[in-house]
Amino acid sequence: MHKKRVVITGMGVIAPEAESLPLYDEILRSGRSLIRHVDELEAFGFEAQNGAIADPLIDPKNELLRLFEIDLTSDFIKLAVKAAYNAWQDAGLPIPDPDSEEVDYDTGVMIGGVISGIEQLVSKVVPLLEKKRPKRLGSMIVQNTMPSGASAYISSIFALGNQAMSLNSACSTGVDSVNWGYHSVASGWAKRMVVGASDAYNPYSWAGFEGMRVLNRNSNDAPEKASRPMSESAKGFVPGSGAGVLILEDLDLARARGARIYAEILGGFSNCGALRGKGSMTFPNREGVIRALKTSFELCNIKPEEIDYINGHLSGTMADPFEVQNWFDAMQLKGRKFPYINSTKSILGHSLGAAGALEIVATILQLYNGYVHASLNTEDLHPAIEKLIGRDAVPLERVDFPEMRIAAKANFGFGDVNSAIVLRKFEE
Amino acid sequence: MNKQEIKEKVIAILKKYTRREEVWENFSDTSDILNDLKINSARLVDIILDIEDEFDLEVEDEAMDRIRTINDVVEIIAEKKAEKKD
Amino acid sequence: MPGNDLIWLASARTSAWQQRKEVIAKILTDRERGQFEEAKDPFTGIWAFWACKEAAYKAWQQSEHKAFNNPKRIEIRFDKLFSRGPLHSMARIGKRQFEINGFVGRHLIFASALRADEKALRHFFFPGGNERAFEEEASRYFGKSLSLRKNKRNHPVLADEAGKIIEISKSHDGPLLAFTVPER
Repeated sequence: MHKKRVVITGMGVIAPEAESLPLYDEILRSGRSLIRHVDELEAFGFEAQNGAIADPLIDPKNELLRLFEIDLTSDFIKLAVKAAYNAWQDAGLPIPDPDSEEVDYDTGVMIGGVISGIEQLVSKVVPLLEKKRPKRLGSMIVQNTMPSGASAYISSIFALGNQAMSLNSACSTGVDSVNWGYHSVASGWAKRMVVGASDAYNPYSWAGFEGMRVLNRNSNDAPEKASRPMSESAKGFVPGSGAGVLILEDLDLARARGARIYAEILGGFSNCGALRGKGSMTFPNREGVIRALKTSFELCNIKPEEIDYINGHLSGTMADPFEVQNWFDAMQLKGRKFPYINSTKSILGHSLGAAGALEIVATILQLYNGYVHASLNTEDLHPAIEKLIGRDAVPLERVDFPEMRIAAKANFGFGDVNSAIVLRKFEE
Repeated sequence: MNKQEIKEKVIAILKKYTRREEVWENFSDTSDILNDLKINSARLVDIILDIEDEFDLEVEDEAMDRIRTINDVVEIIAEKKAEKKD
Repeated sequence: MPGNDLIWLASARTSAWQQRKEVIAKILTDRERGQFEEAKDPFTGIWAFWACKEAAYKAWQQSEHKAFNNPKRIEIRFDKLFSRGPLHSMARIGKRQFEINGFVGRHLIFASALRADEKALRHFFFPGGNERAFEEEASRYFGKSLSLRKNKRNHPVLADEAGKIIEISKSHDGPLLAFTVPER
């Protein structure tokens, strides 16, 4: 079957302190950390007290979102809907008349999330069930906790009649949601897909990571220094939150309506290391990672040396040097220079399921606008990384790079899952 | 509390769940909550919970089933309030 | 002499009285209402005002030893309107002014007040009922053995073995206890 070309025509993000694309771009360009001390975490007894919190509040003046009762939903849905609304407008698509019965059966939605709805369980379900009063829960708990809730609301606002669902693959969720959307459009299942992921701040869900001792607890007095991917002093990740949403379109459709094209998705691949070899629930089987990366290059018909820039998973744990080694081995550049590599988590923290979506948007902004953002806190680059790829591959300051053509992006998640995607600047 | 006061409070609660301001430009006691005020039918449950809190009473599911108009809500509350006093 | 207040939002949500117009009119002064009306989220907005008023009132009471009931005698002015994040405001009760710091979180709001001429404050949070843990933590912090007592006016204090007193503030809501002490 002939595969359709798939392009990105709209993007929206809700990141901490950045609810618009230009502001997000400006933050990436200037390399400004969005990580702050979160006093509430201290009150709940966390030793790691930093985080990056995106604001889920719905602007009361946004009549459309109020009409669809988004203000009554849970935080992960609010973040996703706000990001989708921005992406839809960014793509120049018309907002359908809410009273029209017309459905767009060619456009679908796939919004993932990892810890969706937990705040509803904590603040509503548990207190009322402990009082044996489940009927007091009201009517909205199920739709606010179901992982497909964000997709359901987004399909209602924009009258989307193709598939409306969610997927969850831990920290790979964002990349997998975009890859799923790519496949849907490439195969002709849909002509347009609204894809992305959302995860909201909640101490009750972040607590699990504190319990695992995987958060950096050494930097409470210097939050901007807390997220240090690829550094020798990396001591755990910093939790974050937010949502990233992209509009993917069949190239013919995008052309026909004269849409601005940010980039083309060449393809991607996901697999699982099956917790074999040195792989575990939380650490990847190296063989699986290398296969995932290599297969994604093959499926996209590109040679590794064509890759100009890598947006890594790189969360700021002891796994970072292993990740760089895996990229290195998968690419086998044989004496050629390793491409630029950075970690958007050094700026935004690790927003779990949403991370991939926010990072793909960051990757595309860099590709479209021609720069590589600083990978913060790499002054003490890990010696193993420096030895392998050299200091210059990891920008301490922003590098202007207008010739950038192909970018690779991967995320790796709990459950030994690996997901990669390859993006190219749009060429006719 | 007289019926007028009850009605004002009921309207304040309904306003939380109406999503189109214009439905309030032209309404009466017999306005149908779902059709005229265009409130999502699933929100009826939440409206009842708010009424239970506001008026400190309990509305059984059977009573809830009877509700169609603003006036129905006011009558149920007035009845319950009267029962309480007895 | 600190004052603090803690609000567990899950409990606040089940008692919706603060959101009613007539109640807001009883709690907030005209100037405060102006600021409140600009709040993006009225639910956390009104509770943030309430927490600041409670904290200021407690701090005021510790020095004035008087009581009043009208919340409008306390006027709060926030630096900036917010939904979540750090909280900072000034409170005025009569001629006295207090500085208020705290935060609006996902599950709780916390505010602590101190007079402009006083030292900074430290806060400790514990699960409800765990006052012993606070005594241990406070003893470590001040470097001497302290026990939690109540003074004649029923305010919580820390007392050392010689009977010397440190005035503190205590709040309890939901599952959490919050203590505020002057910085050592």
